[in-house]
Amino acid sequence: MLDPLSVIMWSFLGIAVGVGLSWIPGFHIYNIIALITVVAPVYTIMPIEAFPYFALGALVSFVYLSAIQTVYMSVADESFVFMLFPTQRYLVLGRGHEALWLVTLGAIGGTIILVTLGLTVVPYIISPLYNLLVPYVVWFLILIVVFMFMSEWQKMGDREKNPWKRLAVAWTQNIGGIIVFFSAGLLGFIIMNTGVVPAEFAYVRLTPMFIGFFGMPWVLQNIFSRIIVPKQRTEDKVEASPYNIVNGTISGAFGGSIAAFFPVITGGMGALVAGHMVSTRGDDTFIVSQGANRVLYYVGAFFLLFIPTTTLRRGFGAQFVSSIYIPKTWTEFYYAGGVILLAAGISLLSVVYLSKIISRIITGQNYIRASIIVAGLLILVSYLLAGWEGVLTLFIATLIGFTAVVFNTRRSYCLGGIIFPIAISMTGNTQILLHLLHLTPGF
Amino acid sequence: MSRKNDGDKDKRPEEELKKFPLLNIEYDLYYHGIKPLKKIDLTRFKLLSVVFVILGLLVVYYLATASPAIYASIQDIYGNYLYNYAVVVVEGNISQTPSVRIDNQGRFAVYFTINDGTGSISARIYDPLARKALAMGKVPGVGDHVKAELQIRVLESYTYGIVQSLDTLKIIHIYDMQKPKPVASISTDMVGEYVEINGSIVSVRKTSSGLYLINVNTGLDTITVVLPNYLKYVNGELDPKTGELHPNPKYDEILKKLVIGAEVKIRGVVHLYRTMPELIINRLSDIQVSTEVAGSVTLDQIVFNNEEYVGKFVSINNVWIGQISYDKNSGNYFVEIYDDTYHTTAIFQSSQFKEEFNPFEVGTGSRASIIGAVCNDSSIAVVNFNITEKRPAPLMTPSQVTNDMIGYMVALNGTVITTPTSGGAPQSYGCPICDYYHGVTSVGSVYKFQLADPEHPEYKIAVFMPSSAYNYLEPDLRELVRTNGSRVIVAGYLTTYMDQLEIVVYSSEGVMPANEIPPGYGYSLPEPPKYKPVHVITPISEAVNKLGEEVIIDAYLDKITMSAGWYVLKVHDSTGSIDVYVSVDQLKKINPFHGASGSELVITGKVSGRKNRYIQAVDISLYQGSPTQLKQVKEVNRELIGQIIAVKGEVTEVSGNTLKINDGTGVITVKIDPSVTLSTDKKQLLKPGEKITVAGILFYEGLHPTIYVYSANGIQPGDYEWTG
Repeated sequence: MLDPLSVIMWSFLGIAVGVGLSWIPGFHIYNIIALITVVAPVYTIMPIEAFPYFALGALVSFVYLSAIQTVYMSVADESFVFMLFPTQRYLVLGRGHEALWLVTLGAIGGTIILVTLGLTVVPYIISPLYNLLVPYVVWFLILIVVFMFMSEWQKMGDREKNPWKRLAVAWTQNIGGIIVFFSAGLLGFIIMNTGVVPAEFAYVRLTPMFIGFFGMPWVLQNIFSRIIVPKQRTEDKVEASPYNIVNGTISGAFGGSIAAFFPVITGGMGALVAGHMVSTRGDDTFIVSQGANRVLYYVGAFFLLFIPTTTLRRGFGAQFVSSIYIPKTWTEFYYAGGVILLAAGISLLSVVYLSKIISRIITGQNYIRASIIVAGLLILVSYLLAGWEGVLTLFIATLIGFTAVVFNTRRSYCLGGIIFPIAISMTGNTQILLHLLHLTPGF
Repeated sequence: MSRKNDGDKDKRPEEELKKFPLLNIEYDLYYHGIKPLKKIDLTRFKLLSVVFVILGLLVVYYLATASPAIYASIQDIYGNYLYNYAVVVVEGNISQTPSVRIDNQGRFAVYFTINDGTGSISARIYDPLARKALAMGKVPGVGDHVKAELQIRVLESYTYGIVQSLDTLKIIHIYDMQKPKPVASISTDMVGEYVEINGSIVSVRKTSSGLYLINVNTGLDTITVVLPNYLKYVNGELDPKTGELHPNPKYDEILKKLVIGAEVKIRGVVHLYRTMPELIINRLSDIQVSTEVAGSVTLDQIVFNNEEYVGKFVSINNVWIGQISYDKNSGNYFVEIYDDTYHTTAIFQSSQFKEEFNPFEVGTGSRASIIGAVCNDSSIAVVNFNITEKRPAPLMTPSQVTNDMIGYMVALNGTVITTPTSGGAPQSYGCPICDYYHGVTSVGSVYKFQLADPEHPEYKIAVFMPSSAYNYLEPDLRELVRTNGSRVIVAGYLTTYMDQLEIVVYSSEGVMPANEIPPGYGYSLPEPPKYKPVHVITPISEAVNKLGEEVIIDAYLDKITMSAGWYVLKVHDSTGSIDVYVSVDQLKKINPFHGASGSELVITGKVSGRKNRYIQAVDISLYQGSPTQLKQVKEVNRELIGQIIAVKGEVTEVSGNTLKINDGTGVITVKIDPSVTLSTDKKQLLKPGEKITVAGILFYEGLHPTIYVYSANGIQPGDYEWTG
């Protein structure tokens, strides 16, 4: 059993990694942790019991600091794709720092909700709740996907001269979404169920795909669009009502909880559902909700690993860490609550000051050069994690992610890469599809 | 300034902007601090991107077909987190008994363990693929060679693999690779061999994990054979509409035949359990049970000529269902069965007993035809049976129940009294989650409560419901038995626990609301039938020469005396007379109103006594009763000593177990044996002024005649009538 000092020490290391790298465009903490285990396996120099706290510290700081890359550099992960446009609006109006504050306020609210409920109610309700709902998970998943398609609001087709043209243009967007979803699904299915990615890279087999779906298209878009960031105001003030902040926090926490609890459902999808359920309106509320959502989605899912009353493992982080060490005691559980608060506090300070520095650096700049460097880094990360096959997967996933951009449809359709194969597996049809695709080995 | 012009509705915004340039303020709002950028028309990219996506997927697809999953050694995979989620091919032999697990939601999972020489890994097939695998019979057994594509999961403490497609699971069964080697004994150096044994079953036991352990005596060795639980579902029927998997009916058929004494031929793989070799069955067709029925027999034949019948299947017709008990060790129900010739114990498996013995409808005294294997001289393992005549469990109240009724099926009407200490009586917490946490919806052990007599609430009886009965109660009935003060009728068999009477409600069909009329309404408690083992009766003249042997005699009662705490029956037949020593419990089988001198008794016992021969009884039965004569007190004299007589009169005095009765002609003392337990109704009779009829053995204490009542049947109301 670790002593409190060791927990703090190893958590600090994780926080430092998170703070140091999470703001860099295209870098996801899961990729970073995976990369660290390949390049510099830290768990070999620390007690394995400390590894969950290292990861937790890194994850919390990532949740706070990755908003910088999203607000200032428009690179999103799968949970942020729903909030790109509101933050971009803030950025072009010189209010990027304010947008970041709104995200951070939501994250603080989400952290308080997570720690309060996580340390009190959750350990007692999680198992019965899971047992009650688990038979219906696949149906939740399918319905959410159906809802995603149903709730796609056509952004084009209102200026064409005749109704048929308008209909055709409007439906182009929807058809694009369907193409993206099923293309991503097919890619995910093949990656998950065959030996395309070498077995020794299996633990990160989806990472290049996700970089391709979400990271790389935005980097490429930045290169093509040549956006020049206007001067940013960096006062520590936000223009939002307390009601909107509370409303956004609760909405986000709800969406994040859905995503953390149900397998495969991501923060973005959870937010989509929760947003409709609590009727979130307005850019400020929406941005706040995303901050809370990400805390619950990422940290909440990871926190389940520490709860002694359940064996639920949600998210790559928890699954990866559980292959090395699974916390088992109530003491470890309460340590985790403390580490979340500690990391949140440090991350809050870091995000505010880093935002001021970065906003100053990028004002009046386009980030073509930076974006090209980032693109190179993403390719390098994919190569290091999954070899040339990983780079190939990245390339194809980028094409799919870019298709979502050109069809002006939701990038979240790229989540088909994971939803489709999991839904196929949960309904017991993997065998049928493998058979149809002639992907079963000949024995 | 309005820019709206009805005639320009269809104009494109670019044209509008040329015509009406933006004002400075608008410009500042739209392009705050930045220059408007050149627009990129993405339309042409749409088709191109789709083409690229298709080409990209084709490349990946080609790679997937060209680079199948790699072979991996288990040593390399196990505990290596880099392989988490890897799809690899593993090849090896099945090293542990596979199992099927069904979770709370009814989902199946098949588990088996592959050993490739470098290590072992658990492989799993989850639902719905698991049902398909079981229905297709595509589940490997111990010793089978397997090649499987597994998706690996690496956890901190263990590693396992998931079979995603049955196409990627290849099984070469051991029974296709080896011919069974006939053996009579197995040893550790035979591990992995496919062998065949012949022998008879010594014991059958179900383990907590659901598999059966069968000990087979081959004559040279006793071999433990394992019947794994997954075989229950292998080749079961899969309902294409509902997806429900029905067990293979052959499994239950075979299980019913696996009874002690049955002759079996079993093929299986020798496997080590810890350090002991055992035989694992891989398919149901590898068990053959000899079901040849030796013919229709009577109970005296199988009890007294058991060497001829042990291990064989026999058919017994029209047996009387008697007292029931439960054997905790085996989990089976023991039912005493009677025919005209004798009685013995029939062993029913728990499931078959509960299925056929509806506690309200099939009570003590019902009749059945049985096919079973003779285990020894005192038990038959029932393989098949058919209830030919139903006699409902009589409806009673708790105050009417006595110790004499132990083993009898009864229906009791009473008031529920729940107590917090009554075996963890589950209380609803008002919300499903709390109920789940407190185990209310899934009672782990038992549910116990008290049932009070509606008329005499001070008389209570414990009601014991195993979780298997409680969990399947209809919700309204469950609520009824959980509600303090509610009225219910419960049916089951009577037993004792910690010297207290209790009724065991072994089935969820054993509870009904008190406002319904149970089938046993108006029925009385039946008496066991009379039997005479005609095939094995020994005349008394021959019995006296069989010192130390057990004999059965058919004799007539002369009189009863007492000696050193025993009752001594003086009996005779046409060849001679002899004393029979019986205990008070055995004596109770003689109804005092129908067991007067001259009654025909069938007595089983051991011949004893060096000088004066006597029989120490082990069983006694009143075959043909002689009605007890009603005497007036004035008629009682010393000539009647040792006779069973009856007297009617008014109770004049009660002191402990002794009372005095006055019939108008005189007063006589009545003593009740301390072992006699009286029902409440009868206890009410033991009060001065009550009219009463008593029957018992006449003794003299000094100058005073005393009737000794040895059975609860010997106390009856004053208006009681009886015939011969």
